[in-house]
Amino acid sequence: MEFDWKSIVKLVSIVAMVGVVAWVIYDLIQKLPKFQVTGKKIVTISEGETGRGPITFFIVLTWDDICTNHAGPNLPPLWSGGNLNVGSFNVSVSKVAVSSGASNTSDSDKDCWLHIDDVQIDGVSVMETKPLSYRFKDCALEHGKVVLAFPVKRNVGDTVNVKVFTKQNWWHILGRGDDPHNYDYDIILR
Amino acid sequence: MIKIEDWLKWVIIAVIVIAVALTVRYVLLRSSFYAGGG
Repeated sequence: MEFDWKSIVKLVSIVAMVGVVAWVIYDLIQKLPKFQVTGKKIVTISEGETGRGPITFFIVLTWDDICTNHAGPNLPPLWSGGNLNVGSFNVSVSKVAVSSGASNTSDSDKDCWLHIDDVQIDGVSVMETKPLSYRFKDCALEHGKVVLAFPVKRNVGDTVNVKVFTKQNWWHILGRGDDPHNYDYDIILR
Repeated sequence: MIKIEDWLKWVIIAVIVIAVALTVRYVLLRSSFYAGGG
């Protein structure tokens, strides 16, 4: 059998082309932004409060330190390179009412936005006004803070599911857009 | 007109397609959709 190197080169080229295209498609699908799930938070209450029936807990959502991937305090995320983190909510539970607050300062091209479209506890929307929008002044340089608290009446030991639906508009090397970022938390009340 | 052999034509096509695919992947992974924001 004659060694036909031209046919082999042609075949290798076609196989490489198909392989690389398939890998790129597979890789992009694998890296699609996923619904973020955090670990469970466990809240301990005193022994005397167990077995008393439902009590009111406050689910506290805290958003701070939104620009988590800076190369330096005076450098915008443009220069940080790589993937830019968007931060996340910290979820805690309190048995006393928590005052809500947020930064909401002046406007500029470099300001960033956090739009909270909805907060659901066990699948039920608990936001009276929605969406809530928070502006962070010059997010490359300044960090913002948002605190939201929602009361729930549950028994000790119950698990509550908290979903937060947001659109986030951070300053970015390739432009801006209201990117959806959603969060899903399971909280055990113990 | 330049006549290109069939095997060479496929090599050139493969190189172009691979370059485009890798560029598209790079750009998409740097986009706000994948990378989020700062």
